[in-house]
Amino acid sequence: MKTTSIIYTALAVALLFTACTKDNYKAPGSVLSGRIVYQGQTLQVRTPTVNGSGSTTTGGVQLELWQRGYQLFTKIPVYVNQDGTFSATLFDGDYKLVRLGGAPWQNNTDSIDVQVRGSQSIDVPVVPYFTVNAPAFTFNKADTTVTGTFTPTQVTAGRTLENAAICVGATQFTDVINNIVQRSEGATPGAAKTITITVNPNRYNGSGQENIRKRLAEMLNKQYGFLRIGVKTNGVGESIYTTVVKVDMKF
Amino acid sequence: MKPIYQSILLLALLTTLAGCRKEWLERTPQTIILEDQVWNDPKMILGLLANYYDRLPTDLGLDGNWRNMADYDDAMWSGYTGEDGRNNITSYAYGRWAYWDYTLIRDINLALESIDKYSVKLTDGEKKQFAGELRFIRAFIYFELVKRMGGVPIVTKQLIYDFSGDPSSLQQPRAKEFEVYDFVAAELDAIKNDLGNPNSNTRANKYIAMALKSRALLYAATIAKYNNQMGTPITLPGGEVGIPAEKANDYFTKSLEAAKEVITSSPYALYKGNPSSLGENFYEAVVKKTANKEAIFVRDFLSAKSKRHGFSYDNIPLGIREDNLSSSCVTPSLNLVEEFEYLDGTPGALKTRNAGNTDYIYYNSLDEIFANKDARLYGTVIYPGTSFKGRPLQIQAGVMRWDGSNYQTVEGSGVGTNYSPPDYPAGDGKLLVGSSGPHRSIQEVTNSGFYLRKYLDAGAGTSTRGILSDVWWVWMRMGEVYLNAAEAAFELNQKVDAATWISALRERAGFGANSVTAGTITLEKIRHERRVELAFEDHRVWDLKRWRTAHIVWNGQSNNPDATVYALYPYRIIRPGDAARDGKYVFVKMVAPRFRAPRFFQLGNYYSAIDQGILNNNPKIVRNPFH
Repeated sequence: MKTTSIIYTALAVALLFTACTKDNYKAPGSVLSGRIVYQGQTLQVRTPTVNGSGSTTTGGVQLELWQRGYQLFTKIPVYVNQDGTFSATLFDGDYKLVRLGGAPWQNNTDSIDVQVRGSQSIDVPVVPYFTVNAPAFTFNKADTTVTGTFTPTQVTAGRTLENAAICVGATQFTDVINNIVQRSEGATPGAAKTITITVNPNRYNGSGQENIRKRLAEMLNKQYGFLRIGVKTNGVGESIYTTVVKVDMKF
Repeated sequence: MKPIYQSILLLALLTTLAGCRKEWLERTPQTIILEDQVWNDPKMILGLLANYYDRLPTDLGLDGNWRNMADYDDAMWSGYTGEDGRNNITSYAYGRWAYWDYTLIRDINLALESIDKYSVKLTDGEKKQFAGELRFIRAFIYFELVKRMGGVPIVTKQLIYDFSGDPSSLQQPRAKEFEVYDFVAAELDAIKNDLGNPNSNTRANKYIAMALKSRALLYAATIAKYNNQMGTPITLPGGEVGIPAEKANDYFTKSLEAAKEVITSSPYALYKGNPSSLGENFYEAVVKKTANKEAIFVRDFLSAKSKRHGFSYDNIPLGIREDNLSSSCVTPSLNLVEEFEYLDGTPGALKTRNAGNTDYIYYNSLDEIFANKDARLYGTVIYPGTSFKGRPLQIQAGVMRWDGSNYQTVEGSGVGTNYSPPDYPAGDGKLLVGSSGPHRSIQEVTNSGFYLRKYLDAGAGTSTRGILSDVWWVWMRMGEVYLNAAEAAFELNQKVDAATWISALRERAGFGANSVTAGTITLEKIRHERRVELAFEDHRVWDLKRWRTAHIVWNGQSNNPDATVYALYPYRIIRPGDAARDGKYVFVKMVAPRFRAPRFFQLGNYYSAIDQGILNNNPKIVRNPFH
């Protein structure tokens, strides 16, 4: 009796270790990576954040990959990282890469053919509405402010500049959405622009600003912060940015 | 033997042939209702209509999507922590408001054709009325489609596949956005005199149709005007999205005409049945089901027929709940509470600190801070110091104890606790945290400091799962028609009329007569009135969309107070020896502790994403912008 039950248990346990290999697909293994480039320069955008399920985007700039020839025809969303790079792990095959609207560059609905045969890297050329040139940041000890100087440059004629914003963050993921404080002002293309923002916690004493106070104090305690300039085109949701710069904030 | 066998066989064969009466194969089935039975029986058609009315969509409602009330800026989620995602929506998904119910449209088209084809016993009047109601429902659905998706294919006939292998004859492209609004308006005009049902508020009648028309054309008009005022208007080359600016005036005019028709000649009127308490009066205007001329069109529930919902069960304040589970799910925000003005016309920001911002303001009672506010605040929100169902609510976040130079804030780990030993050796034995909170982290107790009153059922036991509630959902009421009329009139520069209508609403809320005049009325005031009058009635998000301000108000930036949900926590002061302060109450404004991500509405949210399955099935459908 006892031996039989042991044998049955052993058999049942052994069954748990078997698996069906036959009907499983291999996981996709080819990595398609790339950059968003204009005149050889990678463009900087907002940090993407994807919901836990991955199904809904909250990210800023998106590319789409499409593959025809299969019954299931849905897009593979590819989010662009803040430094203008992107990557997707795919099956080998022929894809079409689409540049989705709403990005800080000209809408171009022509798709790009991508043949994926093993891992590879591509450059996606775009024409931005504006670029942000010659950024420089300084921390002013005297009044605990940060100054950003930059020159927005018009690339696409006919577009107007809505505003330019300086964003102060505690991490390298800094943009107009993810930041501690930010300040936006109007700017003229082609002219150097300076925006100053205070990072003195005591200046943020409104009700409901306790969070800002706390996070600014933490940042000053660490003695460094991350700064970035974003330029927003009128009628376009996403801004174009400078690279994130780590700035010492020592007194 | 053999002859007997043969004769038995013959007999058996004969039996099988016998008994077949002529109609044997043509009996009426006992389990299936045939087309000509349905379409010749007014009761059965009414049953179908009830099903179709029941399938009208809403973003909020009381029995389906009501949790969405916590997703905007008027409220937050304080219920079950598993739904805390509602306080942490890093941005609204592009498909959030997607709607594509061509199943229901097909059902209606089929019903319209079947009435034509099969109904012989109905009178012409009955036929017209049923057809009119079906077309009303269809117009309602097309309005819901266009406000969410932009232009959609207008299908008014059944689409029947001929099995030829080529479905392209069934594939219709999207109509232009304004064509759908024109279709809705034309349908409502065409049927308004066929509808009958006078005095009904659950089945369409002439004035329900006109109220819908005033709303739909106001949407069309504001989109025409404000979309084109954006830096870059949101449009598609084929006009599926975006309405030409020159159409705005015409739409405003027609919207105003329709609203005027409801205001001047309909049996509906503003509810003023409880003049002794204007706050209760406003609560009753939405919730009361008898002798209420305010409600124009509702989705009704009835306990006697077991058509009920659990809205009260889920949203009753914790301290007065009658069930042992749930409560306090959707709790209004301080943002909404401060939107309600003071009766002298000053802005509604609550005064928690003295003029020099050096000390708190000390209030004698919990509700003193809310004194002289717009009565609609009481009708919409349960705030500290008020009661519901005759039961007072304890809303207190903790105590503040003076240590000689500073206040020490003490908040308990639970609700309904006293500030007394042994947990608090220095305690005075009086209340610490109220039985209805607020509490920073516990689920199912308010996190914002307020509770919802609108739609809560005041009947005994209605917040239990055994009894449930049958409060109705108001699709349209007179208050909205006044606001539609006022907004359209203002945009047409008829400021005297606009001020009259706005003043009428404000007078009902306790303001003096003519509190707004042609000289003082502004667009901001009208928009403000919409927010306070129609809170939680499924208007806020659509209003911000059609004014094209949603991406500015909810821009996702953490230092934007409009995108953040705020809370108000009351504390009792312990400061012996200081009679001016000891035992009084102070209030602290803060970002709601369970609130995480500022509301973020992107340009791609103005028109919802069309599902890829729809695009795959019909290549003539174009995507919405930014998707």
